Amino acid sequence: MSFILLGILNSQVEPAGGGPAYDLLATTTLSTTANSVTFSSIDSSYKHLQLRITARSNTSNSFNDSLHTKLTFNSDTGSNYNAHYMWANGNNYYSQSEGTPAANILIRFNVAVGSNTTNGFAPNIIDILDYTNTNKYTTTRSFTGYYGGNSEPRINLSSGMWRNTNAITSITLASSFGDYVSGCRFSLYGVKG
Amino acid sequence: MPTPTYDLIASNVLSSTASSVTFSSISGSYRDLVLVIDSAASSGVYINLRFNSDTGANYYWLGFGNSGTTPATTRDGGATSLRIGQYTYPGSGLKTLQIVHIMDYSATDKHKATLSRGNRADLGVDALSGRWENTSAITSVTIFPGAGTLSSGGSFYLYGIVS
Repeated sequence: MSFILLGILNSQVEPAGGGPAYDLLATTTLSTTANSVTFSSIDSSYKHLQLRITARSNTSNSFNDSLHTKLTFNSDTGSNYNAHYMWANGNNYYSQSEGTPAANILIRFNVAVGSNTTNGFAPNIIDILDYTNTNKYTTTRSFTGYYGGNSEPRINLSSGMWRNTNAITSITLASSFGDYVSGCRFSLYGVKG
Repeated sequence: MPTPTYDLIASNVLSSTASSVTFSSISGSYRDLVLVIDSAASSGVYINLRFNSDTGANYYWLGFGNSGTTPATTRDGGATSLRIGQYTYPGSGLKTLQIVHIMDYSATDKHKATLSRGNRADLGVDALSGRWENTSAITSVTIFPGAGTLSSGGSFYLYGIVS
């Protein structure tokens, strides 16, 4: 069953103790450019987290393999992250791994750029599972993609892992090139379990 | 105190075949919409969306999928509707499950971006991204097959997410 669907079902069936099971924890809509966005002091009373983002960068780079968001937890910039990706552009199909731990989880193809159509913002949904469980490395999955009207559309599914058992208390999303522009939206939700 | 955020806006379970399903007069009080479709349709057709009854060439979509043997990827720019599945519907009453996220649907400074996941268990799974090249707030969503009809018993649920 899809995690998203699980969220939907949870919203219709009250969990033990009653009340909703999918809650907004924080949201930020940029009023000016920013290179990164951080959610800190994250409530630990949920089972999973979900980020919902619409993003655009002011970079002059094209919407290609360079346009990503760097995801890190608890300000850890050590080489403690793994990821795998598969994506396509409508003509060809690709995959790639970060089997050697890297300094962040790349959320690929999730930022529209200046060469894309004006008013275009790329959609992102990122799930962070069991984020408070201190017996597990924390795992993620992301779903991103964008067709800006030029020759560089991408659709991407990926998984990630933070090789650390600490509970996540902060999340940082940083643009790989340029800054996020005004109007970008970053929302963090908690899913009860 | 967290804010409850995931609400059922409307639903429609077909009691007979239909050429389309439309959710109209959608409240602008949410941030994202989630459309959950569990339906069968005529054999060999794709399911598509239109927003606000716009039939112009204003839709861009891109998808990929895998059937277990052969990956597939397709795209169309300047289409007259938004495809939400890489694979066609199988017919014979077999349902396909599709979940479509419509982001920032009420913003008037953004094109409307979508992420769709499809599960046709007899053939393959897929993922698609779409864009409606229009900054108007979405007030209606129409779901329709490229040909033929949606089958009786198909269910369509529209949820709103607050932010």
